[in-house]
Amino acid sequence: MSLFPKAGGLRRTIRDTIRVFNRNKTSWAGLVLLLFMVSLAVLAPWISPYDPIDQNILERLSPASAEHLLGTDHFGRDILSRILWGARISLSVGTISVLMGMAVGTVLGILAGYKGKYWDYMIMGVMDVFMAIPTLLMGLMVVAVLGPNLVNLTIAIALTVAPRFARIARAPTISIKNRDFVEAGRAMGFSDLRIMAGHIFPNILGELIVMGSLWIATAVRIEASLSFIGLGVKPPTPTWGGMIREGFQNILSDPWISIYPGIFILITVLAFNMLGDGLRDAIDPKLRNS
Amino acid sequence: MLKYVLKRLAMAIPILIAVLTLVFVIIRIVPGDPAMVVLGDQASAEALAALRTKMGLDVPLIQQYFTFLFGAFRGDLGASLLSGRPVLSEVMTVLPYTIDLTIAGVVIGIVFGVPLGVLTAVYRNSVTDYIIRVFSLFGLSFPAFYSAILLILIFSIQFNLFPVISDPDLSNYGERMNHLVLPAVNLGLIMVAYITRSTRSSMLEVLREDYVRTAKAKGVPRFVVITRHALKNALIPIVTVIGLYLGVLIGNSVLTEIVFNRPGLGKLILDALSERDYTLLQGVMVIYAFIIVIVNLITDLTYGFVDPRVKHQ
Amino acid sequence: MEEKLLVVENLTTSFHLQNGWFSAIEDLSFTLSSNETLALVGESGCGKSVTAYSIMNLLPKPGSRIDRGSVLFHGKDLVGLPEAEMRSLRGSKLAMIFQEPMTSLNPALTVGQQIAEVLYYHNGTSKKEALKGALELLDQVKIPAAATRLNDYPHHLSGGMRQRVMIAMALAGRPEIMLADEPTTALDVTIQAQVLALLDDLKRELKMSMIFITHDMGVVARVADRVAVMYGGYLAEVAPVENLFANPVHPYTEALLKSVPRLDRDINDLNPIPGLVPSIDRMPKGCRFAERCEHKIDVCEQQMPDLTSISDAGNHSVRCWVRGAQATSNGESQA
Repeated sequence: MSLFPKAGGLRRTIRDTIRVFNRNKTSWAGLVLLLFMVSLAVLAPWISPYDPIDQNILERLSPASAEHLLGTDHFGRDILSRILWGARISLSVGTISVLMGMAVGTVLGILAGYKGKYWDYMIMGVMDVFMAIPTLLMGLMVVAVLGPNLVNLTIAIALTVAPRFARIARAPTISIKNRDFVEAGRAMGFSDLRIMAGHIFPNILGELIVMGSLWIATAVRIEASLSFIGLGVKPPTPTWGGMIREGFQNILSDPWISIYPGIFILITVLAFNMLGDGLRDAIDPKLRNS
Repeated sequence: MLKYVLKRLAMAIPILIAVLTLVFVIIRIVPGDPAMVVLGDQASAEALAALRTKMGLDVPLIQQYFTFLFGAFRGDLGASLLSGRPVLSEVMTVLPYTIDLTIAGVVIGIVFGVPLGVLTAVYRNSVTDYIIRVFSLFGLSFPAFYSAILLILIFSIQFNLFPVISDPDLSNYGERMNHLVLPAVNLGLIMVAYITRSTRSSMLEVLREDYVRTAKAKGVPRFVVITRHALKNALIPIVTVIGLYLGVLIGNSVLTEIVFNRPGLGKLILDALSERDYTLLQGVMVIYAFIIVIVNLITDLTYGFVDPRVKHQ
Repeated sequence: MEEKLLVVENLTTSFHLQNGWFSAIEDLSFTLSSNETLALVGESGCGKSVTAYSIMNLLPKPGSRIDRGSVLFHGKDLVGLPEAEMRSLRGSKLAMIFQEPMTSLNPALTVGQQIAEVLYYHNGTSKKEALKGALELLDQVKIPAAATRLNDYPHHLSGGMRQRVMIAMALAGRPEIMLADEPTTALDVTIQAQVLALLDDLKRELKMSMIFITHDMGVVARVADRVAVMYGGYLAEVAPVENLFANPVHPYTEALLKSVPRLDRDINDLNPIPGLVPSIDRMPKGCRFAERCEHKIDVCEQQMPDLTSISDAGNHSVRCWVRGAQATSNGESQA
């Protein structure tokens, strides 16, 4: 079944969504954690106790205290404030890259399925090659070559995500390509792709949301990993992976600098994974009654 | 069967060429002059020209491509800009360490992941199932570098059981294994999470099959129904999991090697990045391309051997 | 009176659906004598397979349960029997074959392994001896070139051959009762006839009793000694096969017989039964067939009739307000 049935108004859609969520508690837990993280990111400018890049050498490497709830790093910057601001980078890189990949991939998938023959062969062939390269290596190469910044990071992740969505969109396109209503729509003068998109989206929306959520989890993890390697957004901009990288220099004496941001990465990735996983179990009829 | 093997082999070569081409394209999209990126914008014109010749950038792009492609198949990956040594020998020196680590991680993943997956499928929706599933969700949410750091903090620093830095090149076998434990566990735990989940869903599907019902109707013991009848069939798709999660495995091995400061392809990448050694970076990527295509080929062939439906064609 | 091998009494089995537990078979009572073939007949969803699974204790758990009733095999109640004891009966004294020969055999094990397994676990034969036994069984079910088939995987065999392998597996434990759940439904007509003939021969040769589940009245005429017609989880009518065909009493039995195409009848006399079997969570209050019945009277929609004997010999019973009473008052005599 699709997550959102075509018929019915907004109220019905909301009720159906809640019913899907209710089938699996994991998705609720994921959603709550996620909303918590998103609100931290959105409210960062107002709830951060300090400026995230203000250095205060006098208070460097101080442990957790009433003044600095999670302590300070080797430049005396407040770790909590940096984590709150870092959430913005992690969440936006994760979400935007997957949305980009999803948009490009879905369009390519529909195109491949619809045009068939050489187009299908070419597009899916290229997609397969992109999929063969692990996400981390792809990100690593692209960022290493183009330079470490937000845009390149986002593009790199989107490149590896797109093929997965192309696959999702291609199969239903092929199966409905020759059905009567496409013919009927054509007779009425609608463009084929428009008719198909209208019929395909309701069919794959559920899967797009599930896979989107799971891939955002991966994207957040990859962003953190690249930042940890030193290919993330340039310092002093706070990123979770970058904070762990800097803290790693003093891991023996001051481990908390690395530990705290890691907890936030873990929770964010976990939240997206729980959301996607729970929704998949709720939507997939094969697993529902198990 | 022979036909199956030959067909797979024949298919692997164009895939390999395609992946190598993608690597070439990505490495060449450097904006501006790669030589200047390496040497900095203060470099003299002569130095830049010399480097361009060394990197093979002074010929037309199409020629560069074929030089690269034929070089890759001949094992000529160019010379490291930093050390001047052939990239291939740089890679071959450390490749065994990466392979050791990866195999150890996969073994841990299978040894724990398959039984846990079976357990969760057989007792689905029980407390055991729920706990194991939560843990496996954690497992695949952990960034490998973070779990590595936590393992070091707990087992190396707190309990002083294992070394902080993993040296794979010790002559003493016991010592070498001792250095392998933590990195392998780090890689292995994440694989356990993935394999548990795949095994569970695969088992759930198989347990619903008619032939499992037949086995029960025959009155064979429950354990035999689960292992000989269900698991044997469930394992067939699990074989492909290794191929499917190869990307995860590669990414995580890179991160693990970096955190444990353990020589291997991951560390080589880090060196290449910090020294802007594009030839080395490209070389390592070529090696990864070979590894990916070969592992996928092996997975396909294993699948053929495990599944009697393919084997007897 | 001959010995009753199997006595099913008041058996009620429920399944869990979204909105609670619903009975799939209710208050089911019948017997099976030695060397007898009883056909369980009805449309899909009438509970005939559930009956077989309840007897074998193979109901999918969780999600289904036996609420009450008993299944006496040689006087011993199988309901609530410890799993270990039940398992030693399954595949030996009680064997079962299934509808789908394509999916009921394990694709990862050879034919020989799958048959030998039964001998190995039930008779304690060595693995080598068990394989020899498997070969004999393949011969017994008339599989050509049995020795070469032993190492074949199921996907090498045709549907008919697979069903023969299933039968060989079922025979391996020398069963007293064979439960056959639509064993020929998935097969081609010619193969169907061969498999039916084989089952019939084997039954006589090995002195087995058989519970034969089918929806095909033609197959019933071919194999059964006695017939139990099921509708909506209840027994509608039970009778010896000749009586049932000569003198169907329940309107549902009548309708079933009319829906069978026959060469000696005009195609226009073929009457499919209108409507569908209601699903188990939407069962009507009274007689479950009432809404599809041409003869219904008021009481039919109020209350379920009892299964009442309508013959002097006591071997023909029916559950119907209209026909049951008529038949009894007419003093129908036994052929």
